[in-house]
Amino acid sequence: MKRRNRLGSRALMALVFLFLYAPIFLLIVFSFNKGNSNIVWTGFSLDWYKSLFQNRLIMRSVYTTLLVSLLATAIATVAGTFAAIGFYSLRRRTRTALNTVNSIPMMNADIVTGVAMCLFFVAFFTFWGDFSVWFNSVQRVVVLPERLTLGFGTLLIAHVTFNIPYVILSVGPKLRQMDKNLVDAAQDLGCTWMQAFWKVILPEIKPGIASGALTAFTMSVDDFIISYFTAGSSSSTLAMTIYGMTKKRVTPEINAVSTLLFVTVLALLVIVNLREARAERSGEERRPVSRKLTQMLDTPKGRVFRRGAAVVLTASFLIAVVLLTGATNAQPVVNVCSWGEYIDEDLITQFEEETGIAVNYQTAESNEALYSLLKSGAGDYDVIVPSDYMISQLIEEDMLAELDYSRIPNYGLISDRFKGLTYDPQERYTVPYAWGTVGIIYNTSMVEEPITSWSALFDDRYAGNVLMFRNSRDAMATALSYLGYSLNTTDESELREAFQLLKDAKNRGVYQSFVMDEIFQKLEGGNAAIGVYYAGDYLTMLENNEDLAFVVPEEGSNWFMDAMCVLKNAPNYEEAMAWINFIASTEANLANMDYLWYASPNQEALEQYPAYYEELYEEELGQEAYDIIAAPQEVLDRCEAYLVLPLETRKLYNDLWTELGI
Amino acid sequence: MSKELIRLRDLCMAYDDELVLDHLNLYINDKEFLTLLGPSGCGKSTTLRIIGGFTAPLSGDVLFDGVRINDVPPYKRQINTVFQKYALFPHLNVFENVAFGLRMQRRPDPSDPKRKTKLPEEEIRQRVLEMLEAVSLKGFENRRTDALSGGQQQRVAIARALVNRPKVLLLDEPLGALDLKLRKDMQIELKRIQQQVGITFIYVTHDQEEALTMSDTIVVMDKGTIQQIGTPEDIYNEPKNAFVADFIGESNIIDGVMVQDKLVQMYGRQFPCLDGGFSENEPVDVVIRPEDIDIVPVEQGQLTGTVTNVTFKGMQYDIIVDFRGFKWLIQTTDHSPVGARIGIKIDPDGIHVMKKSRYSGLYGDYSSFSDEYDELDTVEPEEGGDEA
Repeated sequence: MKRRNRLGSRALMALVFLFLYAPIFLLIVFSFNKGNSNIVWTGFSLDWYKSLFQNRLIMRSVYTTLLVSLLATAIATVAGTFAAIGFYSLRRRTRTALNTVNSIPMMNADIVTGVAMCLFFVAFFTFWGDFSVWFNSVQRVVVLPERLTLGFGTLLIAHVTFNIPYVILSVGPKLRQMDKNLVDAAQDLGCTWMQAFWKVILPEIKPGIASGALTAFTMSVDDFIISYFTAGSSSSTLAMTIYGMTKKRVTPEINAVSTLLFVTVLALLVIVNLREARAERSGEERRPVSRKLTQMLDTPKGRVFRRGAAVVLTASFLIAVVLLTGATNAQPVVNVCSWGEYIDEDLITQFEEETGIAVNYQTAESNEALYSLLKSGAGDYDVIVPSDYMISQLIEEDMLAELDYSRIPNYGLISDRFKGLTYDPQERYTVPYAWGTVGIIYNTSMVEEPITSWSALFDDRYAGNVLMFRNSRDAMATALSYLGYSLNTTDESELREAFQLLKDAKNRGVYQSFVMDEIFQKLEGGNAAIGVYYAGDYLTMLENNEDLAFVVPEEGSNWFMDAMCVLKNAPNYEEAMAWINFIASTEANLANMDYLWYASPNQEALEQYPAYYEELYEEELGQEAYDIIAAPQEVLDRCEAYLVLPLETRKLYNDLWTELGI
Repeated sequence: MSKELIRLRDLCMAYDDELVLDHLNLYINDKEFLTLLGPSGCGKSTTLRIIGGFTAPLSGDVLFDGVRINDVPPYKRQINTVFQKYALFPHLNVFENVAFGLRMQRRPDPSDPKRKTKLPEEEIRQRVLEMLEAVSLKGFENRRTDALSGGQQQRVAIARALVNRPKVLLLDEPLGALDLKLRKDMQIELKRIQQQVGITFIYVTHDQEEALTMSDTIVVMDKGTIQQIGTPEDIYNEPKNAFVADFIGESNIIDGVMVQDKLVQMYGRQFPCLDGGFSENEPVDVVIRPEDIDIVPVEQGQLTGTVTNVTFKGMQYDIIVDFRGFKWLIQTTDHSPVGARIGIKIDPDGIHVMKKSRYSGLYGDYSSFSDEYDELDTVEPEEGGDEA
């Protein structure tokens, strides 16, 4: 009986560890996969690590991450150590209270800390703007930067802030363990207070400082949420970049970088734990102590020291804030916010070399996320690349600046078909970036006949094998198309009819699940027969599963256009024009079309792409494939772009979606 | 020998409105072994910390060689300290602990008197090794301090202080953490070292036996004031009040009336004694040491009482005897069973008469006597200015 229990508890233990580590193990294994699938193992290779190190965006965010982590660790360690000494020299009751205050930020939800900091910074910048305008107007000796933005400076401040408590927490106990007479003894033997600090206190609390610093560094590297809200447009940490990249799918490149991140953090943790274990083994118990530092710090010199240290720290902190937040405006720069994996990154290098303008390339994960970033004031970008309906909404809310088309001669290369579309009929705000269609992707080995209609998505024959969009607009669009209604209908009865169709199918068990990026795994792995997604992504899946086919259903579908826009009050308007013109060129469009497998709006690029492909890969690009990337006009004719919906319709979408209960 | 080195003038000190030193006046002679003796919280450690410069007095002066040193920081005083629990630097080995003070020292450069230089490494090495030899720790230079026994750590602490050749060595309950046997050895060792180096030792303890063994002068303190200053013999034989009498050794303290010079009355009976100088019929405290009492047959006794408790102590018996409700301690080599009626006789030189003080009536009754009380008394924690 006893034996069995032990076996049971061991099995339970094994299960716990399996759940904890199997996902990470899987991720590490697939970072060495030759192919780009996370399901199908095609052989060992280090290609993803190689391409990782060539990925500008990632390497840049690694640099940012390391820089911010190291700086924040250094500052937080110094500040936290002094704070701990300050706490230590206080009366017990005050100290306990302060320790509680200190531990609140650690227990507080990151999201709250992040949002609070973001709000605080934005409020401070507003105040600073008013102040510096006034200050610059009354004197001319010092010119203060009038416009501060979220950026590396604020990111650093945020990291320092959330790191300090960890340092205090780790140094405090070391101080309390220290023999209370050590400082007296050092002074007795000829040390001044400062000498006693360096020669006696510091060696004693060094292990605490070291593990505090390591913890802080780990926290910094690890942090996503707080960084996300405080980094602004010009900086991106590794975690933020990875998050942006997962917008489409988890590529093995992300596996590779995650593996490296995991190994780094693991190594740091091992070091911390080893240190502690060693300290425990060698450290004989020392007497708990009260504080003689009180008396030290209360001597006249101690007070001078205390005040001096406070002044120096505060001053350097303030100077750092202004310098770092102001410094972002020093060299010509353009802040671009696009989607993950939505540009051939060589273009960025090329642009920088040609123009001398530095590109801060950021990514958002969806139109809605971008919109809320802009609204919160955290998204301080110059150029953004929203989709059609979002552009309408931004124009409606007067958030976009008119473009100076005289500086964008390449606009002339854009096919007339894609000019003056409904979202920007007067051609004042946008330059098209890429476009594509939505269609059905299906596994030919799992269906009886080629699929041509949306009916397949509501067909009981495929029950349990269909993947539906996990967002209301796209999911409703499939039903609306099937019923022959406009994708932009505001008619409640039409919408309710479409909804009923979806709901019935769901209740009958047609849908295996509602997905976004998980569709790659499911379809590539043959776990589902039918899905609905973007044409360009189908071609990616095809590389891993040759049985897949794509169709834009006969009833019509959604086609989308992403276009470059400039935000109102963009700090770098000139540079933004240069960037847009560069991206609109035929060369850039060819490179992007090849990278994205989304269609270019540039007429020359559209025409030249098959030849470009052939030259690059030494094989012909079939007409079929080309038509999937760039749907022919007759397909486009039966498709419809999204328009921004009126508020009440949006509300109805929300209500229906809630009722569906995904 | 009798040159005055340190003088404390009207020292007052308080933690949190609680007076720890109350207008303390004291002078300390050069080359003297002086002990500050008293129970926890009596202010003895605070006095030591003020002399060392670790604590500033609220008011009053500290004079060193006639110069006021109140504002001189500890690192500039020619005084070194051996701390409670030694306060050795854990990150340094024995040699470096002892060398610490020497490495901090600067002296005028012989070639350029305006510049200050460190001591040469060779000199440091020589002085440290000499000092380690003096405290019998030769060969321990490279040991970690936490690998040493308590007594060895103690000697490192002494060496670390003495290597700087201070004029005064302060010792704050240095033997408190050692076991009894080691403590006795170290008492003799400390006295030897003091005589060898020939400097002033100021020693703080709550252990009266330690004080009696080592000191030239004992300063008995209680509640921030000095109760008595004197040689160990003076303090033991001529305690000034009930507190001192009780704190130093064992004492039966009885209410009495001084009938006239050399005659004191207790229990309505008159006892000849050697004291005088009181007014007629002045109420007094009478101290009778337990070993000065002879047990005699009841009929020969000056007083008769009943034995209530007997404890065998090896060299003698501790006997508690009830004399009309007031319990005495008698130390004797003769065994008397519990319940026996006995008589006692006290020689005139066994009786010590003291003026009444605020301590009268607080001490000297052995009603609550037990061995455990004695034990508790010796391990009582020291007041460390821990006012929180």
